Amino acid sequence: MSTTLVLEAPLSLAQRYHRANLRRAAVLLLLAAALCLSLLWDIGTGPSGLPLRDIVQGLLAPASLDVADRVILFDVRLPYTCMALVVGAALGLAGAQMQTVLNNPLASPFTLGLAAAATLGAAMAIVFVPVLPWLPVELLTPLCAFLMALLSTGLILLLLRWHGGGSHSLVLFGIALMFALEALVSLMHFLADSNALEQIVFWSMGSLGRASWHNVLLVAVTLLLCFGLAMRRAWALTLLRSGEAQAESLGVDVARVRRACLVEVSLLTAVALCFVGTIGFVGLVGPHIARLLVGEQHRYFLPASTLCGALMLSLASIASKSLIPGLIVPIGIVTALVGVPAFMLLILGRRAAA
Amino acid sequence: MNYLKGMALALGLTLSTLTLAASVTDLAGRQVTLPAKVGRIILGEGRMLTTLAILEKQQLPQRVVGMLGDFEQLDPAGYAQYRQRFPALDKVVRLGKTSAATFSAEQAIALKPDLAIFSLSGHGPDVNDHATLKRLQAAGIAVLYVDFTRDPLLHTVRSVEVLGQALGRQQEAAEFIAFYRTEMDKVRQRLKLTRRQPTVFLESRVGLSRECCETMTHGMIGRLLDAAGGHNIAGPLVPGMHGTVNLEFLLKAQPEVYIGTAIGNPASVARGVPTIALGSGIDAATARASLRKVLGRPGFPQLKAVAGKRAFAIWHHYNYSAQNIIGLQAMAKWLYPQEMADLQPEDTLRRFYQRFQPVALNGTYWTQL
Repeated sequence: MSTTLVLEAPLSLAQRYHRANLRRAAVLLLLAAALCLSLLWDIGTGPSGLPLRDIVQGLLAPASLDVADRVILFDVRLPYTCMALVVGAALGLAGAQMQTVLNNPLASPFTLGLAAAATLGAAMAIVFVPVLPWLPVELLTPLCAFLMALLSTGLILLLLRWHGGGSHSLVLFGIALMFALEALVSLMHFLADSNALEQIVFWSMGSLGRASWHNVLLVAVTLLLCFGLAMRRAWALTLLRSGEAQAESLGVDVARVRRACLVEVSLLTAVALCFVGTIGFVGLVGPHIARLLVGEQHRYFLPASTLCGALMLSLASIASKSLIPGLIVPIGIVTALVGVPAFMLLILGRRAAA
Repeated sequence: MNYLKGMALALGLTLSTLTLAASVTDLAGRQVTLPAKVGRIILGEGRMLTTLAILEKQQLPQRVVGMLGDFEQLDPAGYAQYRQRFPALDKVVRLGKTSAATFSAEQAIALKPDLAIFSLSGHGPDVNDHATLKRLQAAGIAVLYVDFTRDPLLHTVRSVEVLGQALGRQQEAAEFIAFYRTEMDKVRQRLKLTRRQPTVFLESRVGLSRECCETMTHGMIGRLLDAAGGHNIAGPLVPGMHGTVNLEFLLKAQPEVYIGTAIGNPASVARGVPTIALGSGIDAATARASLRKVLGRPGFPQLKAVAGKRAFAIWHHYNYSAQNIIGLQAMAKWLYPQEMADLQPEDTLRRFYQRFQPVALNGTYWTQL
């Protein structure tokens, strides 16, 4: 009897912590591997039936492909795939930080009206077409979407400063602002002629088809920058999960962290959404899946959310091309239609396991 | 004998016009009892003015008391021409902007019209808008549906015929219908000589959205393309009137001919919007330059149709007007340059304006690379 007890000596706290971290790191690696597979699958999906072997060969030696296939690979599929990657990652990362600083699992880049603001900006650009001689017309819509998203964050920060409330007031401000912005978007719908109206509607359905290498690069750079900044704050964010008072007693300047997070999250969301339109759901659900997988420790939670967001949008991109071959179903529709049931299953699964 | 036959025919015709004048079957298949006097009419879409002008000629604005604002919004240069010719159009009450949602039934009823002319589908109240229909009917207003959009090929002649009866312009309607049928027959006869159908991609409203490619299939210009003898590569793919296909599909299918539809106008040219510019107020060089510009988008230079200079653009608003036959002829000529060598769409366009439009032809309605 006694010998077995010695053999099963309990692990020390430090050992258990170390082991849990190893498991978390393994989950991150698995997610990254899954993302790689999904990206390859995404590049390999399309109506032209270009086989994966040719694609790999084409990636290594572009000259081996004929002109049409080369255009398909480098100008159609790759920007599309990369856009799904960076936008998904950006939304996942933004959602994760938002949920933490607002202490609200329903928070996402949409909660504070960022997406509605971006849509309003785009709609204004589409309806009024202001002429800016130094700006190509194609960049007008993304730029206006971007500026409006930043403007709405600025407004919220000002309100917060004036009011001085905590995360609850912040969420309420955000929701109020969102309704106001949506009303203004509807006003734009009303003012628009039918062509412009359709443009606005399509914009708000979200599409990766607007991807170009420039856009992808811009989103990627913003993503890397914000990811670095977020990781430097990982411990403060982890502490914040145990409550504002607790975090403050441990030396975290909660107000400052929150402000910095909000600014970065808006930048990230605005840059991502301004090129692809409204893509909901990823910023809300990506972090939830990440939390289920690696828990709340932000050193692992932030990268996991980023990877989950990218994986989700990459899978959605495959679905958007495959649902009706030859046609592209707007990706914003796909993320919701495919994502919601998957999310429900996850929640139900967790309830059953508990 | 011949005399008797003639008499019988004349009598029959008179009788049929008499009975038909009291009630007509509109394009929704409804039996519409026409009011004894059609003095005041409202239009579900402002762009109907161009068709109405065929019948009303110089008296155009006299009966129209209300219409939607779509004409001036979607084709500002075309509307400006009409407005210059008929300054009274400014006083016609706008019943809404460019969609059915903005249509004010109250405003429409307040105008006390005798007749409302709506489209089966389009920008104004359509055939599914039962609420508006019921309200107008309850107010004693006859509602007549016409169609130049859903099935332009089958419905154009019937729509003009119905309008002619409703407005008491049978003579004018008959003249236009004869013109339409003659021009249509020209294409049909020559199509009999063709051997195989060239494959075509029809890109709709080029430049409206940044991504490729909205297309039309079983309706609007899609139907005109079928009638012009084109094999629409998106036909099997897109079940409805229009849809969006993948650029990759286009690059793989490599259609022999590319046709883009133009929604650009002088105002959009001035703002630098990347659309194809055609229609009133656009000269040939501007039109061609705009087509060239949109065909520089990624992927398009690699299309064989573009490289081989079989890329064309057509005025988008052939989508909804009785003059769609002219666009049909232009497309037929592009698709079958040999068989249609003696077909003269430019001449048809000129004659259409001379005979049936109150304004002068002033602009370019199609172009090529």
